[in-house]
Amino acid sequence: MKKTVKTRKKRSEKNAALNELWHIISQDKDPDALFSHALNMLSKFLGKIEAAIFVWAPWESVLRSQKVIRSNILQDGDEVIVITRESPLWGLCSGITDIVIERENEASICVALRTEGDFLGMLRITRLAGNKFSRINLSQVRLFCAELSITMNNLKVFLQNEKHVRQLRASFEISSNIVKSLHLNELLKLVVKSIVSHMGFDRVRLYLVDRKKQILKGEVSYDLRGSIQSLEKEEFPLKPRVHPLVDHILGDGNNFVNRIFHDVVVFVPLQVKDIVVGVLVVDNILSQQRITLEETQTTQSFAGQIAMAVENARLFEKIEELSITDSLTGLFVLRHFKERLETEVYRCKRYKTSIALFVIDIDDFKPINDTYGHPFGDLVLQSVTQSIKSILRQTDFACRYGGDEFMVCLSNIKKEDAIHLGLRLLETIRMAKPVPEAGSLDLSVSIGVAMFPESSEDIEDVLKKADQALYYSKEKGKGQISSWWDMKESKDKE
Amino acid sequence: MSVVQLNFWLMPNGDFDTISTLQKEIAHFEKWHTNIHIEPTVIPWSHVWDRLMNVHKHQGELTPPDIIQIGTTWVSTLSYLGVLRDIGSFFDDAFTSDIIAPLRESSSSFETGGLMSVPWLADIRMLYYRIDVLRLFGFSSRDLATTDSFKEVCIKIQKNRKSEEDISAFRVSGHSETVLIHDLAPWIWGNGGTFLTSNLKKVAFDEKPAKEAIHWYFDLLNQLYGGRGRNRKYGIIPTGTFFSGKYAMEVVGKSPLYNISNLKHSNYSQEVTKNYGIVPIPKGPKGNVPFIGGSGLAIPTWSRYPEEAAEWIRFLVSPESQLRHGYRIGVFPSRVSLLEDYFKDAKEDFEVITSTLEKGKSLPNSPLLGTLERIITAFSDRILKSIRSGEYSAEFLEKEIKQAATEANYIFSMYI
Repeated sequence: MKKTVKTRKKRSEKNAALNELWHIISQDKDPDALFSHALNMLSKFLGKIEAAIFVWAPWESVLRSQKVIRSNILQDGDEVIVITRESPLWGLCSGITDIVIERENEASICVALRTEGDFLGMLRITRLAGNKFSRINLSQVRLFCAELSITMNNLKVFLQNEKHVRQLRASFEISSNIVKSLHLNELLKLVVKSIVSHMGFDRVRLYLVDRKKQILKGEVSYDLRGSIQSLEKEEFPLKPRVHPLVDHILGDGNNFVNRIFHDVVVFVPLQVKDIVVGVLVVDNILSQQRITLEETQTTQSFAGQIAMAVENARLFEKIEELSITDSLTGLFVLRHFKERLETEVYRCKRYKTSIALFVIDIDDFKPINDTYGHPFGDLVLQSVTQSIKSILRQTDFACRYGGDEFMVCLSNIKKEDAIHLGLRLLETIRMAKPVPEAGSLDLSVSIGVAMFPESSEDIEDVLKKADQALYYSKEKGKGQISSWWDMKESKDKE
Repeated sequence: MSVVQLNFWLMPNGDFDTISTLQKEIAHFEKWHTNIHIEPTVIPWSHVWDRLMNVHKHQGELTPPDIIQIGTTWVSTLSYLGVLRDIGSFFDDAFTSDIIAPLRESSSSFETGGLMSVPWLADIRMLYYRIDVLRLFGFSSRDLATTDSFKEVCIKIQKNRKSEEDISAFRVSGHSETVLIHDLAPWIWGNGGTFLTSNLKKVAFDEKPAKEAIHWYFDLLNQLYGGRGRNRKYGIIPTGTFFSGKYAMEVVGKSPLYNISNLKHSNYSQEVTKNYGIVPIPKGPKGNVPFIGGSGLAIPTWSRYPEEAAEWIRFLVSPESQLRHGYRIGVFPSRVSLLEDYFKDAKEDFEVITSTLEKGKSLPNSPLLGTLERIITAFSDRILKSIRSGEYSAEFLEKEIKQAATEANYIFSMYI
C-alpha cells in the first residue's frame, strides 16, 4: 500500500515537472531553443539516454536530425535518414505512432511527431547498457511527443506568420522607397538599396531596355556590403543567345544560369502591361543561400511597381527636358540658359576665371524663310545648331534666343581663344549645306562677344554688351565676329 | 568582477567527441581567465555556413557567436561579405610568421591582405597506404612515387577485389560519394595546371595541363569503380575510411594514430593501426604539389567582445594547447615550430610532412572560391554519375569540362 502511494506521488511529481516543461517550451520562439529545452527535460526525466529530434523534409523524403543529446551534452544534429517504402521507419510516415527496436545492449524507441495527421518528424531515444523502456516510460514518451508535436506545429505557424509580417514590412518599405523619387538615377539606387536591405540578398543589379538602340543596358548594382556601383559599361544587344540576361528578357530562361544557379540567382523582368522595360537580377552567389520561393514571389510582387516607377521617372525626365530645351533645336531655352549662366558667373567670381558670351544671329534669315518656306527655315536653324554644338566643349552650353538668334556661354576661357572659336564657328556655318535643294545658298551668321568679368559687371551687363557687339558685326557687313572691347576701342577713336 | 560569456561556434572533430575534448581546453583557459566563460556550440560543417549567413544578414534577430571556427577556403568570401574582422593587430609577427605558409595566405583578406582568421587545425594532405596490402601484391612505397606507378598499383589491387567485403584500392575523401575541389587540386597542380588564371579573373581548369589531370583522375576512378552495379547497390565507392580498414590507400590530411589512446577507437581497424605508412602525394610530370588547408578561428564583425575573443584564440593556438588538442583529436597543429614535437615518435613521417609543407599550397584566394567549389562539385557529380552508369567516356568528360568552365567564367564576369 505504502509502495503504491509512493509510486503515485513520484508519478504525479513527474507529471507536474512535465507540465512545467510544457509551460517553458511553449514560450520558445526559435526551433533551436525548443529542441534544446525538450531534449534537456527529456534527459532529466528519463535518465541516461541518447535522444535526437528529427524533422521531416517531404520534398527530399528524408528525416534530418536537428538536435542531439548525448551524455547530457547537446549538439546540433547532422544525421540524415533517407526514407523509402523499404525503410524500417516508413511506418512512422504512414501513420504508425512508434517503433521499438530492442537489441542485445541497446533499446531504441522512434516516436512519430504528428499533428492533425501531418507528419512533422520523429523523436528517437536510445538507452544503452541493457536498460530497456518500461511500459510507463513508453506511455510518457508518447505523451511527451504528442505535446512536442503540438508545440512544434504552433511554432511553425508562429514562424510562418512572423515571416509573412516581415515580408509585408519589407514590401511596404520597398514600395514606399520606390515612389520617393522621380529622377531615374536616384530612383534606381533607392530600389536596389531597399531590396538588399529588406530582403537580405547578396546583391541586386538592375538593367533597363533602351528601345531606341535595341539594347539591354546596365544601370546600377548594390550589395550586402553597402557598395553601390554603376553598370553603365554593360550593354547587350537584344538578340537571342547573346547573353543569358537577354534571353530572359526575350522569354527564354532555359540557359545554364537557370540550370546551375536557379536557387541563388533570380531574374525578375520589369514589365508594364506586356512591355518589358528592364530586368532585376537578385543573387546570393557568394553567400550561397537558397533564395526561397516566397522571397522570389515577394521580389516579383513589386516588379510591376518598379517598372511603372521607371516609366514615370522616364516621362518626368522627358517633361523636364522639354521644359528646359527648345523642341526644334534641342538647345536650352533662355530661362534655363540664364539659370546656368548665373551659376557660371558665380563660379567665375569664386575661382577667378572668365567666361565669354556669344550672341549669334543668322544673316538674312527672313528672306530665306520667305523664299524657301518655313520648313526649310527650320532646317537652317537645325543646321546652325549642329555647327554651334560642334564647337562646344564639355562645360560650354548654348540656347536658342528668339527666332533666329542663339547664345553661347564658353566657360573658363581667354579672349583670344573665344575669338578663335568664334572664327571656327563662322567657317563651319559657311561650309554647312542644310539641304541639297538649297543649292548655292550662302549661309552666314554674325557674332557678338563680351567677356565676364573683363568687360562686364554682371549677367545683364554681359548680355547687353554681347548684343551691342552683334549689332556692330551687322553694321560692319555681316558674316563676322566682333568683340565688345574692339567695338569700344574703335568707337572711342571715332 | 563580471564574467564575459563568449559564444564559440565550432565544428565536429569527426571521430572524436568535440565537446568533451574541448571542455578540457576550456577548463585550462578558464582557470587563468576567471573573467571569461566559454560557451561552445557544435554545429555540423554542413550547417555552419548557412547559420553564419543568417546571423550576418539578420543582425539583431539571432544570437550571434563571438568566435567562429571556419574552413580556410571560406575566409575570402566571408571577408568580402563583411562577416570577418581584421584581427592582425591581436597577434605579433613572431606568431604569424610561424603559421604554415599556405594556411597564412589563405587566411588573409583577398582585398586588404589583413589577417582575418588564425589557422588552428591544419589539413596537410599525404597519401596513407596499407603496408601489408601493398606487400601482398608485390608493391612497396616506392611504387607510389609517381602518378603513373600509383595508378598501376590502384588498378592491380582493385582487379583482385571480388566482393564488397574485400579491400578497395583507393578512397576519394569526404563523407559522401563526391569529388571536391581539393580532391582534384594536387593532381591538377602536379601536372602544371591551375584552377584560376593568375589574375583570378577567369578559370584555367579548361586549359591543357589541368584538363589532362582531370582526365587522368576520372579515368582512374572509372577503371576502379566504373560500370553499372559493379560494386554496390546505391553507390560506386564503398563506405568507410582508410582508418576503418576498407581501403588500401587514401589521401588524408590528418593523423589520429600518433596518440596511443586513439588507436583503440571503435571505428579504427587494428590492422590499419599496425600496418600503415605515409608517403607524399605521387609526383606528376610537373612535380608534387599537395593541398594544404584546414580551419581557423575568426572573430565576426558583430562579436560583442573582440578583445576577450582574441585572448581565447591566443590560448587555443598556443604551443601547449595546440599539441594537447591536436593529439587528442588527431589533427596537425597550424604552427611549423610544433610539428617536430608532434612527430617526435615518428621521424620518418616527419620527413614526409616536411617535404609536403615545402611543396604544398592552398586553393586560390578569391571571394568566388565557394562558387567555384559548387561548380566543380556539380561537374564531378555528373562525371561520377556517368561512371556509375557505365556511360563515362573521354569525350563526355571533355564536354563537361568545357561546360563547367563556361558556367564559372560567366559567374566570374559578374563579380570580378
